[in-house]
Amino acid sequence: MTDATILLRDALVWDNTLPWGPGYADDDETLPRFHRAGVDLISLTVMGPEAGLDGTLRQIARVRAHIAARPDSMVLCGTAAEITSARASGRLALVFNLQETNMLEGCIEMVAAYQTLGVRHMLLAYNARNQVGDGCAEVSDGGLSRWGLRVVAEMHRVGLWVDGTHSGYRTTMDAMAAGGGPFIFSHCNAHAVYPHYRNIRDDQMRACAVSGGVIGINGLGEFLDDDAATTAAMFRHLDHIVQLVGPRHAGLGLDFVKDAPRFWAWVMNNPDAWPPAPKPRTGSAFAQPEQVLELVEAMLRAGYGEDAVRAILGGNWLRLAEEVWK
Amino acid sequence: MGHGQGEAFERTRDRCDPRATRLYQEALVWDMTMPFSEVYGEFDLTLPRFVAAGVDVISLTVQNLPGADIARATMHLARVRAGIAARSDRMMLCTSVTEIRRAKATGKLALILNHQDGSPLGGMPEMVEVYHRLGIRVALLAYNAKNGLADGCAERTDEGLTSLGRRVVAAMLRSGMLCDGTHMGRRSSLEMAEICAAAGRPMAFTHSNAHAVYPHYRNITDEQMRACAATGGVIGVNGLGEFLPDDEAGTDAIFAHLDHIVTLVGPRHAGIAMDYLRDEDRFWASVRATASAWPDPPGGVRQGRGSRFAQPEQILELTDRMVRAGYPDAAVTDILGENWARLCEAAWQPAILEPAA
Repeated sequence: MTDATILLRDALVWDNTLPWGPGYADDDETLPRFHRAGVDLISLTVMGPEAGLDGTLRQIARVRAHIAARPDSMVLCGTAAEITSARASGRLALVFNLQETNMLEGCIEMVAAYQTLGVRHMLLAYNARNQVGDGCAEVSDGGLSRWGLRVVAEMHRVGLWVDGTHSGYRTTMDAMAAGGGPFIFSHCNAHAVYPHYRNIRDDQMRACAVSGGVIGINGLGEFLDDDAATTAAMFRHLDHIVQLVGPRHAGLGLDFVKDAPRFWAWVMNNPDAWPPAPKPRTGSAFAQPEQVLELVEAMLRAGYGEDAVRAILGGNWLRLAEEVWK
Repeated sequence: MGHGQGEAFERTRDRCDPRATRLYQEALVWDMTMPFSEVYGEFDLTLPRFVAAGVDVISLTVQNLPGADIARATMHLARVRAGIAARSDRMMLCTSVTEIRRAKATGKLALILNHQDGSPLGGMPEMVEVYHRLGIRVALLAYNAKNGLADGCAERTDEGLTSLGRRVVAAMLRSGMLCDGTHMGRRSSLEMAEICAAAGRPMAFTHSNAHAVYPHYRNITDEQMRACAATGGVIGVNGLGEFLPDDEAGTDAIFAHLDHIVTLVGPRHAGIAMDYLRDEDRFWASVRATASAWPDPPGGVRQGRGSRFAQPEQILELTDRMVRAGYPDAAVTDILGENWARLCEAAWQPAILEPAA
């Protein structure tokens, strides 16, 4: 075994974003594939901007039933201790996230209800504006609304990570300025490496690190500026984060989609949320779960210490779970 | 607790047999139904009065009737959960009998949550586990009128469970949620009892009076009572005047139903479920507005409609009636709450079932 293989086997490996809404959740292929590739925990996006409260609860019900029916291979976790114990028993650990806040439907108490059902992070706005604030692809860049401030405070209170991915620059800066606990970017690349509206700026990364948060690098070709979504391109973004804020604030949020053509068709049909990118859209690839090993190799080649590699693979997310989740 | 609330209880106590008062004050007192929808839920008006009247456990119905959908039901449920959490010095959301006894031991009102209708499921059996996770521990499938799961007790027809309804019952048993036949049609409730019996789990009629005492469609037949008791189940007497029938919802009328249950299936299968709500006028207006779910009672609309609801202090009076009728101490204590406790201990254990056909 190579050093990278051993390290991947021994480290807790955490992928902080896997789309798992109605169009993405498959039956029995993707999750076992991630597990075989060495991933120990996946944060499933059980709903994005596609549905409100009704559709979100229905999908949560389906996914909870899917997991409960496979108790030998996977387990829904809510705390760092449960994750560690799932890994020790050889089972894939799962948590939920939401990529929107629209599914609160104006009911602040739903934050705690989603937490009870397994959600551990929510992002504020998905590309377009919502009641909380602007998304990263909006024509405007306003800050958090009054409702948004309440949502952020409530998320901190009940022990969720507040997630700035897909959200507008000022929306995230306002949320971080409001304080209350660590703020994360679950799956975002570096604007300094490639100025796509979905990538975040250096001052967002710095404020995130100051809050104690973590930034997960994303494997979507269009944001990497590499249609093939190669490991080399991912490492460029990862290394930017590590050089800027240090290895304690970097992680993985691969955002893998099995049916890439379906995703791109959805993007093309949602021009308000997905305006043109800096370069013409060609339907780029998504990084594959097996590339996590290549990423370990790239980190080792670049001279990252083993502790730094372990932190980036999952230790940082786990530390944050210990600090925040209830 | 308001001054007047304590006084009402003291006045009742003065009229009661001392043995009844002693038994009542020592017992776990459990009210298995209180409407607590968006319009009836009143944390700071109604609940303190029940506490002053000596009630230890209340099961809150946390959905609008008639009709609810996933979004509306879950938002209200989320608000009720938050409301309980905000009053954690005096009340506690409980999902096990152990927690209920701990709440009583620490001087807190124990609250459990129920649904009265399958509409919050949105047609998805998988939603049962979601509501279970959010604290729902008791549910019935159809409220008076027919739906996609079962027939209601006020329907023109009397069909059994639908195939979706059978899957919902199975999902409830798997999660450990008490199956409630109240408000359901006769055959649907009997089929529910059969499925529960096959799974080795008790079912309940949480708030249903005796058809043999008064043949209102909301009251259940002796056959239903026997089927429920055969599962190890419990039938809760209801304090709504129209079903007794007694416009004043007097304690003697309630006792007539309770005594019928006790005589028929024994004191281990009877409990109390007041079904109290403060805003009676609003309730009767909603009944008038939903004639398909609330057709005329047996004697016509002039009989019972607009009647009163039994008041929490009457649970002590009911204890007094039991004592005067010669019920042994253990029977009184069982009926006041220990039957519900034993039932819930069993019903709230997840059942292992064969995969759904």
